[in-house]
Order: sequence, then structure tokens, then C-alpha cells
Amino acid sequence: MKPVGIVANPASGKDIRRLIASGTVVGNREKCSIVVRALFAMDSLGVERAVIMPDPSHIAERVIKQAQNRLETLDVEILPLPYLVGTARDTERSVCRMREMGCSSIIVMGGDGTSRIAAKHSGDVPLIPVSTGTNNVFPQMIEGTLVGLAAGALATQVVTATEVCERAPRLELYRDGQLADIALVDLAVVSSADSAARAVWEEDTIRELFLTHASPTNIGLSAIGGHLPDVDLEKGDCLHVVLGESDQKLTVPLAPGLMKTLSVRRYRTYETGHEIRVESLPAMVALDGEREFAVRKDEDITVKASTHGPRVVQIEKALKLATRRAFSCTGQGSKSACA
Amino acid sequence: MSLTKKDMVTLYTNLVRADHYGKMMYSRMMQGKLIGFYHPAEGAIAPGVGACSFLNNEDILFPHHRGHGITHMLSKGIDVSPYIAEHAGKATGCCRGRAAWHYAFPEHNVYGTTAYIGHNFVPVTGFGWAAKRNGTGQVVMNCFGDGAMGTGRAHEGLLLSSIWDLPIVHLCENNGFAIFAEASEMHPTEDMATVAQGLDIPSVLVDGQDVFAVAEAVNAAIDRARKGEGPTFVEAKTLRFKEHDIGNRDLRGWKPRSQEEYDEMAKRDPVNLATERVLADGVLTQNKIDKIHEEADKEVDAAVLFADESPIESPTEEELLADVYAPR
Repeated sequence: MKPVGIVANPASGKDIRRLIASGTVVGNREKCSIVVRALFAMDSLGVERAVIMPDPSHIAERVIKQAQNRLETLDVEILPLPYLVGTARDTERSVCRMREMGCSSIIVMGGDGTSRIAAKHSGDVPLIPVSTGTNNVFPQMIEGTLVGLAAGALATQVVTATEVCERAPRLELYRDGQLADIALVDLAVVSSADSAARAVWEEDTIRELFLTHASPTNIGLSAIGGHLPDVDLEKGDCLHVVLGESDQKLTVPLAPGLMKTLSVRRYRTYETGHEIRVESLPAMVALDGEREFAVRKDEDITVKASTHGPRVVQIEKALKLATRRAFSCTGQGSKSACA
Repeated sequence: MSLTKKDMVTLYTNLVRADHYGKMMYSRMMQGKLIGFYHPAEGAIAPGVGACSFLNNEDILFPHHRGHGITHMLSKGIDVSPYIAEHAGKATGCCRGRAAWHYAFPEHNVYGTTAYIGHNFVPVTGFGWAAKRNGTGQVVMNCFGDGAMGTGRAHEGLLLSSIWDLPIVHLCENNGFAIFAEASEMHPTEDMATVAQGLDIPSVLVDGQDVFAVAEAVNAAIDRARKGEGPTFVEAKTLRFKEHDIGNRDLRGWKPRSQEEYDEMAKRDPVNLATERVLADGVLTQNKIDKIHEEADKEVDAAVLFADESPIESPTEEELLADVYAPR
């Protein structure tokens, strides 16, 4: 049986948005508990092996300490990494290693940024993104037990990845024609001098925005698209928004509790594959809400949406299908009882 | 407010200066030209620079003992040459050569550094209370490490700062070690910010190798304090490249730290990381960076010359006893 990979970002849910907004704090104690609940669910389905990313906060060790005496079939290991650097590099290396190990799925706990790092390296391995961040659009806010059940259904082959996974869209950023990076939800062109504390919260620094998601039920940059009239993004479409002096004002939640008014000069939806040139250079590029790198005025920067994002497990679909196949029925005669 | 390019130049310059001073101090200690101990700051200078570069002169500073506060003081805009002289026991020192590294610099609102880890939380509370009563927007910057978070003083100080809404920024420079002991053995949680959250203090984690990230987070905390919104706890996860203090072996628990660990840490050198960033962001050119290093060299050389040429303090008995609480 293929193992289940687990990545829990110890740094998610703790950034500057706790100060400049009213972001929820997600402590590592809670992250441990979410993983433990997922492990118990997997164990109940007979999953044999799970590997957890190591991190300087020792989430994996604490999870094993809490769970090990209560697991029947499941063997939980810490992924051997030569040295931890306490940065996104740990996530990158772990996801690469989990892919090499042939994991049936990888549970990714963090925010949009953590999912983005995992998506860059996961290949065809299905991801189960779980929100433990701030403004999360890509990962779901979902109970750990259900996450474990979905991962267990895949690992035990009650359901297959083909049946329950969908490719997510992604935004591709090209520098002088070369693919330089990706975003899953939003790509912002901002006028900040540096990436610094990374989050984007000052509305007057946002020059352009590219979105794969736009919904008024979102918090963060994608909320800007969500509050525009007549925007209905199909999967794989890209919404391009140019901000600046204008009479068209929007008041949106840029972070939890942080309502900001922005001026929108124009916006337009493009179909998958349409390449859009970034206009506002030089600038800093923010990917999924985090300032990442600077681009110069003389660079040719383009963005396009594609449908080549990560394979993502549709949890509800997986659990409904697995339930129809009576995966949770145990004991003598239970199949017929369930049937 | 996010940083401007001018802010980034200030931070980068202070980071380079701190690095040059730190290397000089290590060298001078090895040459026997400092009195007392020296606790090298190499690798862990970004939190102090990021936290103190935008303080006002009126703000109160309790620096971290690593690097003996040079990083913090120079970032606050203080001429640190009297402190370099102090550490050599010279009459021109900020405490007339009598304090070595357990000094104070009251004319610049710098207090601290006793030998007791976590001692600062007690006077910091008092200064915070005074700052609040003064009502002039004064902020207290309280710098300490993860080791201090194991003391009762720290818990009491945090508690009082919370319930009295004091204008204090608690900056935890968490390098994961208390001398040799790993933080994971000494604390039930690796994030010291969790403790402050439990006391209802807004808390944030930041990459302590990234001077720009520290500055942006601390500036938000300073802003809260100046507006009367109370204390903030900023935890900067940093790295200690050298031994705890010169003369002791650099151990992780009971074993020497591995070469692999040093090699990995070197990849996160705060000056190298910041240099990559200012070049990539187009904030500085290589020529300007070279100039900043040259100026830092000159500044350090001048401070060393000042210390070397200053007379050794030789107080009379009467002078010596004039500065103690209970003279005969």
C-alpha cells in the first residue's frame, strides 16, 4: 500500500497579519491535533504507512508521541531530511521526496502559499490542501478527521485518483519568455520596495492583479475580483484587474477584518492560455498573497492562466463515493447491513 | 507601513555595520583586548537591526546580550565607540570603563544588560508604565532570547504589560539555544509567541534572518505601541553561527554541532541574504554596497583607535565608591 504524505507548515497562521489585521492565530498545538485526527481516521480504514515532514518545531515528533500507542495498522514515520532550514525549502524537499516515494496523496496544511510550494513539486501526486493559514482560498477549512478519511480512501484504493481528483488552474508567470513561477489563486503586481514581511495588505501598493478565483466569499486579493460586477470566472480563466486613479471604487476585505477601498481602472476576463503582459513595471511580484521577487522595468513579464495546476482531491466527492462503496462498514455482516 | 527604498538602505547599512563590529569584537576578544566575556552575534544580527533602526532617541532600549547590544545601539543611531572603549576598561567608556558589558547608556535611553537572563522584564515593565503615563508616544523595546522565556520574571513582565496595556515591543530573538540547551528541551512549545498569545498579547512570528521582514513586523508593533494599543510580542527565528561565548565549546546538547549544521546555517547568513535582495530589488548597486562596506570598516577602525588610545580608567577610592548604592 502506498504511503500518505503529510506536510504541516509550522509557520502558517502566524505572520504580520496578526498585527495589521485581526488574523486568526493557528498554533502548532492545533496543527498537531489536526494531524493526529487525520491519522486516527486513516488507521480506522487500515492505512499502513504515513510519512510526515520534519520541521524545526517538531510537529512530527509530537504527533507520533500523541498517537503512536493508539494506532493499529498505521505506521507513522518522520521523513528523513538531512538538515532542516526552517524555510519553504523544507516543504519543497519534503514534497519532492514524497513524490519519489510514490505517496498516494499528500495532505498539505498551511495557507495558499504553502499549497503553492507543494503544487510546484507534487507532479501527479494528489494534494489534499487544508487551511491553517490566514486568507485561504485554495486550501479548505475542513476537519482533520475528514481529511484523514479522504486520504485513507485513496491509500486503500476504495476510490482512485482519477475518480476523485481535479486539476486546479494555475497562473504562470513568464520572464522574458521563460516560465519563472506560478500562483494558484492570485498574482499581484505591487509597488512595495521589497518582499519584507511578505503579506500584501496596503491597498495603494497594488497595481495589477491576476486571479484564477474571484468570489465575494473570499478574503484577500481574490476578494477584489469577487466584488467586481459581472465577473463569472470559468475554471482556467484569468481575471486581469488594473488598479489606479478611477471613479470605480470597491471596498473589500484584504485581510481578516481589514476592509480597504480600492480604485479599479479596468478589468477583463481572459480564457485559458491567453498571455497578458504586465504593465506596471518595475514592481514587486506577490504570488498567492506573498511578496516574492522584484522585476525590472526592462523585463518582459507576462502572465497566463493554465489548467496544469496540481491534482487536488475533492474531499466531498471522495467521501461520498467511498461511502457508496461501504468503505466504513466493518465487522461480520456489516457489508450487507450497510448495503 | 511597508518599507521604502530609503528604509531598506538604512537597514542594509546598519546590518553591514553590525556585522563589521561583531567580527571586530570577536577578533579583539581573541587578542585579549576586551575585558570580561564576549557573546558573538554572528548570524543573529538581523533581529536587532530590524527592530531598532526606526526607534526614536526617546524610546527606551533594553538590548539583547548577544553581541552585547552593539547591533541594537548602532541601529538606534548611537555612536558606539564609547561602548567599545568601555569594553576595554577605558576612562572614555560609557560607564567610565567599570562595567565591561554590564553597562548602561542612560543619555541614549539604553539600559540593561545584567548577568541575569530575563532580568530585563522587570525594569522594562516599569519603563513601560512610565512611558504610558508620560503619554508622549515613547516605546520600550525589550530584546531577549528564548532562554529568558524560561524565567518567572519573563512571565510576570509579560502578564503586567498585557493587563496594563503598556507600550512595549517584546522582541524574542529565538536562536533555539540557551547556551548549549536546545529550546525544544526547555520549552513545551517551540514558538515563544504562543506564551504571549496565552496572555492576550498580539504576537507574530518572523524570519529572523531577514532584516527587512523583521523591520516591517516590528514597525507594525511600534505603531501599535505609539497609538496606545498596548504590547506586542515579535518572535524572530534566528541562528547563532558561533559558540555561546568565547572560551566555551559550541555544543548542541552534549555534542559538538556538526559541520553540516554550520554549512547549512551559512546559507542563511543575514548579510548575504540582504545583499541578494537589495541587488535583486534594484535598491543598491554593487558599487554602493562596496562603499557601505568600506565606510563600515572605517567606522570600526576609528572606534578601535578611540578605544586603544583612551586612557585606562584609574579611579581613586573616593571616585569608585561614589557610584555605588551603599558607600562606606
